[in-house]
Amino acid sequence: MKFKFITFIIIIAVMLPLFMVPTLASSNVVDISRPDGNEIVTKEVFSICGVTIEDEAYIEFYYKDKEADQYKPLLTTEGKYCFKVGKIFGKDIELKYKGKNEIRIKAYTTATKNDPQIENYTITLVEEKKKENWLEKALNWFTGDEKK
Amino acid sequence: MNSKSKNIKFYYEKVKAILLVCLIILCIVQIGILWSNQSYSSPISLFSNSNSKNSSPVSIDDTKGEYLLPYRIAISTGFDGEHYVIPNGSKEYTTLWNGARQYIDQALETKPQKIQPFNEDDWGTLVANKPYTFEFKTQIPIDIIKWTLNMEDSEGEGLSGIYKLVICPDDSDNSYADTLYVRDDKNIYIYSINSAKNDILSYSVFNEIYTKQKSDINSKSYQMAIEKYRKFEISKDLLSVFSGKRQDSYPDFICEPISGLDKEEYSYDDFYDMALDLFGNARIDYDFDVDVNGSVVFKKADGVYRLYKNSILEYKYTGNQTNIEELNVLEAYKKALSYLLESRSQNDIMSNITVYLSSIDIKQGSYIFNFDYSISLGEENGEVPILLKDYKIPNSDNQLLSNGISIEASSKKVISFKWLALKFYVDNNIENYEWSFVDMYSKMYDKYSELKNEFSAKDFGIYYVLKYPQMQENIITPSFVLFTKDGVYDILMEANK
Repeated sequence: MKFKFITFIIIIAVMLPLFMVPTLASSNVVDISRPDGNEIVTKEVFSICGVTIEDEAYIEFYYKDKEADQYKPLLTTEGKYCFKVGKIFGKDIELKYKGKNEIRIKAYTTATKNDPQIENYTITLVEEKKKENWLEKALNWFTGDEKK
Repeated sequence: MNSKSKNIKFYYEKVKAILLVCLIILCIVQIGILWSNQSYSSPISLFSNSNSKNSSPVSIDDTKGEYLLPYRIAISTGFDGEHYVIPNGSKEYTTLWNGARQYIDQALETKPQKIQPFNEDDWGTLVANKPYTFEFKTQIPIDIIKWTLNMEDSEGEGLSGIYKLVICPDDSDNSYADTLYVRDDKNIYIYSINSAKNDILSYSVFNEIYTKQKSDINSKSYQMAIEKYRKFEISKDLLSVFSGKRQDSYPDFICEPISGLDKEEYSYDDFYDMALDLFGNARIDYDFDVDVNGSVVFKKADGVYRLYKNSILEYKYTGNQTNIEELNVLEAYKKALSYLLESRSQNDIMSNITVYLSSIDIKQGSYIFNFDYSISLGEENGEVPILLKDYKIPNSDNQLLSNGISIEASSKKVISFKWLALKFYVDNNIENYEWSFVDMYSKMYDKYSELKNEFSAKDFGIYYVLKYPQMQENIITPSFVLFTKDGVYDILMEANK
């Protein structure tokens, strides 16, 4: 009985990593630092950055087309949407819409291509408030030159 | 007969007196010549008084400011905005540093309004959001700051030193007061300046400098680590190219050792030429020889210099050994700086080099001041730094020289001095390099197995790296250098084809 139990434990210990590693890998190919959750930004060009957990990782960027209501490839400023990335990555994309942009990042290795890590973000592009120095504002008010 | 002999004796005595006067005059002239040579050449001479300005041909009071320059001055338009590094040595660099000096002087007259423990995220956010940042290579003790900036002894109470500074005129986070944020290793000190004596760092000056940087084809905007990699182990105020790529031009450098150093045997002329290269007119103070290891030795009354084959010049004090002296960082720094000025005045080896204080180590009774080299590329083009890597000091149990200059000094004297005695020339060949932090890090990741662990970066830079003994003329090209918590890693940059 004891022998059977030990054999069972050994079989489980050997088999578990075989099933678990691809599962874990598929969910943790990259660690994304930007976007930092859903963000509100003022600039049209936005950087997607992160660190890869698995070697030989690939990433793809998509955006949700509002008219077609489906995800389409999102080209970076370099003109590509799919990359093989090194240990760290940083890519610039141009946001498609003023207001909400739904962005999808797909990351995988050759082993996990059919079960990629998928991250969805909403990046809201808003207009930048013009910063005005309070002193200038006050002086302009006094001099009656408020448009300055 | 008697009167004749008296006359002869009188004239004889007269001639003797004139001869004696001539001899005395000659003696005085001779002493003058020796005195001028001695005081001109000797760093720690028997006769020279180190406190006296006349002992050094370059006055320490006139030049002390050149040895406490910020290694990096950056301007920022805000978080996720543009960040420019102002070229060291440029007109804008001088303007901004002069402004910052006045801010420091004014702020340190008062106590800090608030002290908060240093935190990477808070500091990174400050640097990204506020307009001006000034960085030294290491934390400079407050006594050295006060002495260099001619501040009162009573100023800077409670502050141990300055490592980095952020200045924000009309700071909206501080009731629109002009604000100075000072960072040392432990805390961030916040000072308010309610009545700024000048407007050197006003927003109009900022706009002027920003517009110039933006329109200059040679200057490109950087990104800040906090904007891209906040959650990872990286210095959050690190400026680099994190997304996209960048094209930069860098010249090759020629480094040339002291003439004749590569020879197997040295003639008198070789010794003479080497002494002339190193000590200039003061060469006559030194006796030269070769030691058992083949290093050239220059001896003088109270010290010995050794010029090793790999171009390291080492000085050791051999005079009276005194008891362990009381530690005083300012006095030790003054000794080290006087010595450095004296050495630089004797030769033109460091004529195109700016030195930055990069670290201060404490020993028993003394301090070691380490200075790094940066070579000027011309006023508007800034400087490029030199990095010594795995550069061994011969006869020293595999000790490494990691800085261009290393001076050990107590409050009374200079104990030892190590110096990379190489001449650097900017070559006519200029290459273009396309790079980004991401690409270079990935290349390093493939090259160094130590980087296979988690991602970490303390600092990075484009350096000219010296790794091998420099005995003959060499051409060096730029490398990407990464500083992590575990070590320093470098990789040669590849020029565009």
